[in-house]
Amino acid sequence: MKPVPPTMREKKRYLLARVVPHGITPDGKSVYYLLQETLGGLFGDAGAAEINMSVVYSEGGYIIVKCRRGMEKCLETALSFVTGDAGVVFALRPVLVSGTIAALKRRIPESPSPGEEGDITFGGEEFEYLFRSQEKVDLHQKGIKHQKILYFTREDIEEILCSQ
Amino acid sequence: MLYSDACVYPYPSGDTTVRRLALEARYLGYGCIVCADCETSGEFYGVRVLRGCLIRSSGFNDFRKILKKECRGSDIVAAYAGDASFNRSVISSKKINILKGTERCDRRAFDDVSARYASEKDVAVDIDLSAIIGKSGYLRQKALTTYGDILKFSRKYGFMLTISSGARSYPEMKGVREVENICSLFGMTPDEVRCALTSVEKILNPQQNVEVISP
Repeated sequence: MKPVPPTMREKKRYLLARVVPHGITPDGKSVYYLLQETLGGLFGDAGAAEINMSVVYSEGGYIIVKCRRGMEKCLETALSFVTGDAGVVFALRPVLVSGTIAALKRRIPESPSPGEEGDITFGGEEFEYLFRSQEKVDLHQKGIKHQKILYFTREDIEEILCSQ
Repeated sequence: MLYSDACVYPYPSGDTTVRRLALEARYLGYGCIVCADCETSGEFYGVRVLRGCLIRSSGFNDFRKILKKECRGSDIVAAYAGDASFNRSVISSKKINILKGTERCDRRAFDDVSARYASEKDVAVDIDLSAIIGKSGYLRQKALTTYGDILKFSRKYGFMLTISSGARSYPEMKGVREVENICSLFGMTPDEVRCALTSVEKILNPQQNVEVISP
């Protein structure tokens, strides 16, 4: 089959979304299947086909998703319904819509250098803490599997360290 | 008016502390969050944190016992909805600020009588986004239908609506624009969403009747 000539091709829009929490970069393929399932559930197969979504970029905690022009709102809604994959909890927060991938890539900030690390005992369990930014601290439970992740702030950690 | 998330569950119910939830709420455009099952209140990172008391009861007598025992000093009192008679009693008692969990009940549990009472007694009905996001298939459809019905009642009788994320972890919190998109699924307009997000503020500072002072 001959490809559709450029003048007849449908217009596209690209949507930049941030992955929260920090440090998680989901596989583009898994995000695609998650979004397809969500779009199918929310708008039906016909609606999902009309949106014509595909994941074009997934790196450094950001993803870029492509859709048909005029369908950005539906795709944005579907992004809010992504809650995680394979036991990893994450959310996709829409940041920006543009007509080109380059414009969106320019808006991706450089990933901050990893902050201070250390060990802490909290509630009788051992955790490793990692500063994600000036205020945000993530606590990863030490162990082999089913480790808890807790989300604290600098003040919370200081309170715990002072009480020990 | 400050936008508020009407129900979040901080640590130990969830995995995120009150301060981190407040920090995320500020980033998402909220000025106030209501923390359920939590002893902390105050202001963190410019976000007002309110103590919420959530009552899960089997009947009205049980409700009154729990209210006396657990809800002292709470800023916001919310109760899970039950059958139609329970909902009418709870709303007309004027002891609660928010009625939650209507999507779990029978479709007739929240009827026009309850709607009229809610309007008279300034009780808000909650729209829990986690009930839409966390469920799929029939249960999500039921939640959307219930919220659509409540929206129609709200338009007719004029009672307040609140919107809560029900977040137990900070990634589950939703921004104002995301809330608008999700609520558009059951026919809520962006203006109605923004009005519902300010309902907690209206509950805390109710409008007083104008008094005419004679000279």
